[in-house]
Amino acid sequence: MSKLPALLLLLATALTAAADSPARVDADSVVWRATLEADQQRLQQIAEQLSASLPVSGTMVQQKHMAILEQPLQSKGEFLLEENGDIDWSVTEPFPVLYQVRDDRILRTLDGEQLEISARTEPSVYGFFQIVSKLFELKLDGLHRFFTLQVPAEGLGEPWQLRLQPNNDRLASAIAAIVVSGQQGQMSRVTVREPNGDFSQIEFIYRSKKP
Amino acid sequence: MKRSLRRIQILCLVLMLAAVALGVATLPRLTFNNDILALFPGQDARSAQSIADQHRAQKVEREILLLVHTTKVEQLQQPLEKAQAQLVQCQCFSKVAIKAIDMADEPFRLASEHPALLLTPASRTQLNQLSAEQLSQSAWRRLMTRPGGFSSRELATDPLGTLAAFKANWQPTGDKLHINDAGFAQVDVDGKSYLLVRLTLAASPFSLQVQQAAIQALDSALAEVRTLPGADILTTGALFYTHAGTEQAKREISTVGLGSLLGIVCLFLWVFRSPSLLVLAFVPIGVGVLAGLSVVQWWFGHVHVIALVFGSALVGVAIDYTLHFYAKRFDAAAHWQLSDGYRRLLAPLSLGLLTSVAGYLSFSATGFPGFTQVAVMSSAGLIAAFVTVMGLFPLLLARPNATGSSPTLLALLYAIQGMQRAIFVGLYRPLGGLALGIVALTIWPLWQSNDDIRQMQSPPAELKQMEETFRDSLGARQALQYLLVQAPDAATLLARLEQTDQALAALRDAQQLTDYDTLNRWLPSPGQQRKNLELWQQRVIDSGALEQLLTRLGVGESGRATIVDSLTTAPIIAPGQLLNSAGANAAVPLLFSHAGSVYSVVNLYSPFSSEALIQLASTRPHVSWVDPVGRTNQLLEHYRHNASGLLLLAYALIWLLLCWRYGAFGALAVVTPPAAASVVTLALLLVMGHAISVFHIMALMLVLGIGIDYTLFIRESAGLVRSTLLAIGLSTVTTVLSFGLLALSGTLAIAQFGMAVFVGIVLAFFLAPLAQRP
Repeated sequence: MSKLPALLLLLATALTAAADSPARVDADSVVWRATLEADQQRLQQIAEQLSASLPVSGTMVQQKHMAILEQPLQSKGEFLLEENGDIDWSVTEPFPVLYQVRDDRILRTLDGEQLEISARTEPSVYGFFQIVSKLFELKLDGLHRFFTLQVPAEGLGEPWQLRLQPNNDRLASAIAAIVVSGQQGQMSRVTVREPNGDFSQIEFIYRSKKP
Repeated sequence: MKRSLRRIQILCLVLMLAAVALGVATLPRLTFNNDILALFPGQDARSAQSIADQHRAQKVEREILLLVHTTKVEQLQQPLEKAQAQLVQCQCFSKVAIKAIDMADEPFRLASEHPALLLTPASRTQLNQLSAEQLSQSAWRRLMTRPGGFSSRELATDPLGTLAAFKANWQPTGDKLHINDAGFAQVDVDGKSYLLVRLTLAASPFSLQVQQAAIQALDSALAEVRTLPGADILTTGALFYTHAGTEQAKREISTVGLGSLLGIVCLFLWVFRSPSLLVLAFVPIGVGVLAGLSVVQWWFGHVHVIALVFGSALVGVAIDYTLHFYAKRFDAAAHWQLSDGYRRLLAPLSLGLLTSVAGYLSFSATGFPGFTQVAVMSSAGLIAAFVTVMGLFPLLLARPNATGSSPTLLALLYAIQGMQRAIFVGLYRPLGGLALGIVALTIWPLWQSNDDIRQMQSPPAELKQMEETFRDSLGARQALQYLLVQAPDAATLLARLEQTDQALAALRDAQQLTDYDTLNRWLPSPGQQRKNLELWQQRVIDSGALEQLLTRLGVGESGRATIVDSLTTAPIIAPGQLLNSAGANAAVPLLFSHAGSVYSVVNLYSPFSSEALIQLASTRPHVSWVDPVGRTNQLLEHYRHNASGLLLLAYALIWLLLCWRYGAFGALAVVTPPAAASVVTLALLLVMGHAISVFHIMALMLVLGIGIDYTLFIRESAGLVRSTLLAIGLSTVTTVLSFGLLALSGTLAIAQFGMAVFVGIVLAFFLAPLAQRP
């Protein structure tokens, strides 16, 4: 039982590690402001639209821009988000790997070998999926635990954009901000910006739904 | 009254007044110690094992865990926050955590964390076995397949992920909790979701104030949660066990205690027919308890509750002195002459006091610190009660008894007297001895003993069931047993732990141990750090593996040079800092220095094979296997043997003491009845299926103390005198009422004690006429 607290701390800080993924959103001529009472209804509406569009699937492209690198790094793959929150995250390039999120378990299949990933063994992977699963459905309660939400000065339109700023120092040391944009009940891009100016960006291209 | 007797009486009176004065002066300063552990020997209180035990006990004892479920777990947040606000008001808790983040300890950090120094055995194997090409390829793939990617900082500090692998060891294994969206730690039990609440007591759960305050606070704070639909609250923690123990003790004190008091009062009123005599009977006991407490306070600086309870009970034996005085006067009726009665009482009462005090003081030789106080308290108390009877009673009871006796009582006494005469007067004693020997030999094969402390306690089944549920639902739990590793300094300690770690890993791989924690998982020894650094330099830097990785990723030339440079050299991390910082995190295995050595505990996770671990420790001089439960059991066995020896010694001493008055055979006749009663008691208990423990032996010491009183009076009164029979008969009944009723206790140890006293005293009474002159 004595190890319990350490685990709990780890779970809480896993998100920090996840945020080690580089990021910068730089379509940023946007001026951000805090959410107002008037934005709540629209936020709720977006969240409902995101939930209503489940299940969704498509391809994703992730680009990492780091000052230390001569070229950005790129990886590609496919994703599937089920109505019950389960996620399939399949990277195909440059190396094939499949992540499956089932309830609270994360499974990784690499070279035909399946391994369960815990917050203990790989906090960054665990934390990444914690954030992604909340973003896909815009679970506001979950996000509020770690982030302060901001909206563009002109408000949430269609397409919409949201900025998440870490609300604790631990997370802020790794993530400067996360910018999420979407339209028509789908999240189309997530950009994570690091304090040192590095950033990473994930684009989602949705497969049209079968009737 | 003769002048010599008058002098004795005045001396007694003076002593009594002195005892009362001492008591009155000390009473306001009495301090009680209710730490139950003081009942058990602190062995060597300053040994490294006991320091480790204390640390572990404190950590485990003070923790309280609650699992809270309602039909809608997500609606629990507000009620739990209200409960928390209420609970923090109680000073009995030092921490009340409902959110996962609040339950966390201080994170463990080393002054510097360098991947070249901190390598796991698995990483070392990998570095040794893979070529530079394979290493860089595998690291590249690792970085590129991570969904969250990696940061430039991570690349510069842990390019191969070996540091992360090392730090993963700083985290616990086996817990099944997860954090829900609201930040609560959640766990599933039988398909239902529960939220975890974790509290820490501010003081020991053995403290009665803490118990009461904490239980009350929990009850009132959780009242609202309990009213929610489908509410279910599971609890675990030492607090609930100690509280259950206290409640049981309270119930037993109120039922058994009240029952015995009522019984004694009725008996007195029936026999002596005088309320004033009833009140007077308790005066010597009152003075005795007062004096006993004062002497213990004065001697030890505090009074242990065990001494208060048992000591007061033993002082209660002093009712016998009153009974003899009353019986003499009552039996003489109108012919009562104080001088004559006083003379006849003086010798047997003095001898009785002497033998009882000798017997009780031998308690202290058992080594139980609690019982040393019991010995001092009961001896001082008995002496005070004796001087009260011999000093005060002659002043108040000089005149003959005014009331007559009950015809029923007289008839009963004659009947018992007749029966005992029939059995014992014509008895050929060697034949009786032979019969006793045969009984003992017949019963011998049934001999069984029990020294298991766990069986002596009887926690409510409900609590045990809940603890099982917690164990199952929260995952691996630390075992009570552990290994203790010793070394002259921290660096050597870590090196020894590394050797032990290897042996334990082999046991774990052989499925003889679930898991374990050693301090070297948190920091390798300086020697190991140097080896790691060498390996790193050779396989990662010199081989060009790191350079290759950075090239594959597309890191520019100056970036590569900076990273390679920063990962090439590292100063060895001094282990000394662990001593200061390790304690802040509860997950770090205990580390402490003591008497010029450094010690660390290796935590074990059950199930495991004790034999394999004992074997492991026995082949390593600096590693000891510590089994706190087993050790207590061993101690109980040790004290059972010791107490048995002391009991025999006490019989021998008393026999020697009595030889000068009665001669060798006469003294033998006096000590035989309680001895025979004890043998037959053991025989009966064994036939009833009891396993003999130290508590039975303690009871037999009481049988000796009281039984000798009986035989001394019978011996001194030259034949079966009715007043003696009345006194020892009443003594038997009061003893059975006060001690024998303990046989009904729900705590096995107390019940065993009570049962042995009950059987032993009744037998001692019936066998007592064996002591009379032939």
